Amino acid sequence: MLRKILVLLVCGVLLAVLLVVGAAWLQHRALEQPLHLTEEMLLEVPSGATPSGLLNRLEVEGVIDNALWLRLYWRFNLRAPSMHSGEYRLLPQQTAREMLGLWQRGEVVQYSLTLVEGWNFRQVRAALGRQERLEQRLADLSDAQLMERLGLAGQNPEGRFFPDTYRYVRGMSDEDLLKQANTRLESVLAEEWQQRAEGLPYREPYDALIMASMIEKETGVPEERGEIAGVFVRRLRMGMRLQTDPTVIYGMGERYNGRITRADLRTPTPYNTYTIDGMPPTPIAMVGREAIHAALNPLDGTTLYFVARGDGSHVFSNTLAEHNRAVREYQLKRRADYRSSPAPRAAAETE
Amino acid sequence: MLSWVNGAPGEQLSVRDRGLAYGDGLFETIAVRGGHIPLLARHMARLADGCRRLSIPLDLLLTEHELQAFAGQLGEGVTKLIVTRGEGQRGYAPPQPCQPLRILQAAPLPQYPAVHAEQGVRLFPCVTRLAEQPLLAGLKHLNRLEQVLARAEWQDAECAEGLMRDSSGRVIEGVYSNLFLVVGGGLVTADLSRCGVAGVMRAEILQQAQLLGLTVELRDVSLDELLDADEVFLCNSLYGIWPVRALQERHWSVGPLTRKLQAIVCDLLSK
Repeated sequence: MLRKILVLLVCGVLLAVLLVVGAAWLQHRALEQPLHLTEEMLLEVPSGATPSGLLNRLEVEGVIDNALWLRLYWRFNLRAPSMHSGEYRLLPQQTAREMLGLWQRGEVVQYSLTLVEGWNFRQVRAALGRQERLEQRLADLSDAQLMERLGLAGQNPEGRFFPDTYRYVRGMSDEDLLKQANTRLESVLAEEWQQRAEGLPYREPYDALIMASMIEKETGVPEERGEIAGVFVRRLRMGMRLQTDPTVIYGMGERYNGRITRADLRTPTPYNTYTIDGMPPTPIAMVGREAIHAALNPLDGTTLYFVARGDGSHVFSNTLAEHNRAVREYQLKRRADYRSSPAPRAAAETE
Repeated sequence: MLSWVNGAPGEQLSVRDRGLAYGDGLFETIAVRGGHIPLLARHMARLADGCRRLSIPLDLLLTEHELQAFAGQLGEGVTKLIVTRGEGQRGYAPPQPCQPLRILQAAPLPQYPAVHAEQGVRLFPCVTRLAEQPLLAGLKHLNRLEQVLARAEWQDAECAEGLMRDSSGRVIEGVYSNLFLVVGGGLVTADLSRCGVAGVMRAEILQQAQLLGLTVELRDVSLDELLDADEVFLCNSLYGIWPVRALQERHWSVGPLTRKLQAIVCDLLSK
């Protein structure tokens, strides 16, 4: 009798051990299986998706076998409550265990979009529209409707967004991205406004933003932003027109074909600072922090004019006579350069 | 100036070299800054691709070591690396076995007027067309007669570069640069599977654009598309990026994206 019980007990224990070992082996095999993929796959995970559901889906699609064991493994070993939504990059030769690792760490594929300093809002919308991975919620809206959707009803969109490289994941929308860019702009502008010089001719931060956009478009040379800001601010104080070409170009809109003529300078638009007093009604482009900083910290001085020298820098002048001389000199010098002997130039060329 | 042949200082070559006889070889024009080569990996990758496609059994590792040692001595300037299939008897048949030749030459960095980078250049519309030859497309091989003919088309210093199209009229590149268009905030550049030189700076810009999240299209480009583009710029491994400000009657102002990429590339080259 005792023997029989003992035998049964031993058998039972053996069976249990066998079962545990068997289960462990099956689970191990399920985890170490390579994904059945011939090329990279982007697994899209909407918010609220569960690992169990995904594993079943992948089994149906033939990417993995034995989803049951993976589900059990996830439930008892990983215990992440929910999954990070987005896209997961699955590669051939990756194992199921590695895939679950990606899920647990929430390693979703990141995309980026760069808004460039100096772009106007039309260019921002075009760039957003080209992002295939970004959910498009604003595409059919007018600018005004778009601003309303962002909670900025009544504001002109120009210059209201901070140029930077923004990261996003699948599931985010153009609306999310623009809100982020607007928040960034507001905080940068507020920070810079706190550190502004005294006695500036601006009523509110928005005026500084308008000024910054003209500086942004006027020079590609960082060192000269402060001096250009100085010229514009002195002109504003004196009631002298700003006369800056980028405002003419902005006012021309689609009519601009890469060149402006004297007639364009004389043609009034709300933005043409050759025909209007003071600053244009809105910014003319997106601006970086440096241009905002320059607008709020213009360099002291007496200059009122500047002309591009052609070597990257500008010549600044106090009077119109001086300025005209500089313009003539620069143009003459340019022509002289063009006539210079071809021999040394040929030596300098690359292949 | 510094000059090495097969790793040793020297300027003498055999008159039987196939590089001279048939243009049977490849070259790289390489910027050197502070003894370092900012785009070393890209130069070596293109050279390796060229050697593979032309079946030139070059010792790439040795070549890279020589190049680095040479750059270290040069410090600041341009290194031109020429690789040929080496000496051969008369006849096109590649000699078996062959001993590839390695030439390293130093030159000062070209002094381009700053206005080219700052305000852009005018493109000369070259009449010389690039022949379509997929077997050689993209390589920087030693046959550059098309470029020689194209560059001889203009003397006017008003034009810093020339636009080259292929025999079907597609826009391909500059005479010594690659060409990019900015269309709707994304980059477009010619597909170089039929002709053209796949520049290392072009490859670098394509990667930088991807990091910025810009859309990038490598495809055929027509002249009308070029004239319609929002921004146009040129690039090469020595000067980085030049905006294009004019081609015939069309004028462009320097665009924001061109400026952005120019700054990135400038940083990269000065490292």
